[in-house]
Amino acid sequence: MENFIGESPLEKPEEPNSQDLCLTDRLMKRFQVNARIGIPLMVLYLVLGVTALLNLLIEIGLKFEQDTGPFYLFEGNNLFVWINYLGSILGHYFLIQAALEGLQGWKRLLKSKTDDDALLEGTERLGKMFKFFTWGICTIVLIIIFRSIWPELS
Amino acid sequence: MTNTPLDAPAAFIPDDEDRPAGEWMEGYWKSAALWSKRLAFAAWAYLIFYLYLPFRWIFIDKFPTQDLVIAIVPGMILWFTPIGLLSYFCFQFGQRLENSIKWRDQLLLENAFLQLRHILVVCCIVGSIKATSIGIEWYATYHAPLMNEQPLEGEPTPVQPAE
Repeated sequence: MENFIGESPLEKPEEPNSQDLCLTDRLMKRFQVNARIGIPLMVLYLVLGVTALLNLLIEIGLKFEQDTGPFYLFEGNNLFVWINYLGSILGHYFLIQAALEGLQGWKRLLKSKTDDDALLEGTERLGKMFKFFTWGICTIVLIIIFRSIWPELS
Repeated sequence: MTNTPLDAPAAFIPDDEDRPAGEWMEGYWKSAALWSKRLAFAAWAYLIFYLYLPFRWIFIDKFPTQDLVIAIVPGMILWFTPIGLLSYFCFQFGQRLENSIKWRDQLLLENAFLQLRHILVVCCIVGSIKATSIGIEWYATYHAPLMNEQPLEGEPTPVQPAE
């Protein structure tokens, strides 16, 4: 019988790296150390995100107080101002969501040494943390581009 | 002759107690690696626009004042450096994690999670800078209306009623 690979059936190709990736003690320890740094960091980011969002909402409230008379969305630069505000709120939402996912993920990874479900869920949430941070930064970049296009907002 | 330390493992030999990570775990690692690299590119895009816009105004004004340059450049360096490091470490983490899964390299996998620690440390620096910035913003938001209520120079101060 011909072998399309050209090897005899008795020879096995050498694959020194053909092994499963393992959950070694060193890897689990790195999870634990990273979790101990990650938990307070995510709490900090959560506080920062909520504070920045509150600051933005207060700014919107102050603007409502200062603007007297009827409001028309398409008058002046009202449309651009409100797109800017909504974009900023969306960006802050993504960053807060990323901090929440990160906090939950790191908490689970901290107790992952004896809990396989926590290890799996924690790793899944790390991916979500990166995803929401990416969306948050992309939203901020779009807002920066938006503000540079319409200079009345800056 | 090589300079490898005496205790550097030449190849990974799993112990009997080491469990394989499994397909689910590797799937989550692939997802984390992908989004980590995307985060690195997003951070670079943020840096490019963050640098471009102030320099655009400087170059439009062909003779920028020294005060303008002194006001803008240190802040840019202070914000640019940790964000640049963050994007570098995010890309390294994603790349090493992907390669470790592709090449089944245990040592590269563990190295990738060491890069993740670097990401967290840089995030601490970025968070501290942002916390300072938000604190200044809050101060300006709450103290500016109070300062506006105080009489300006030259205006008569209100007479306090006698008790």
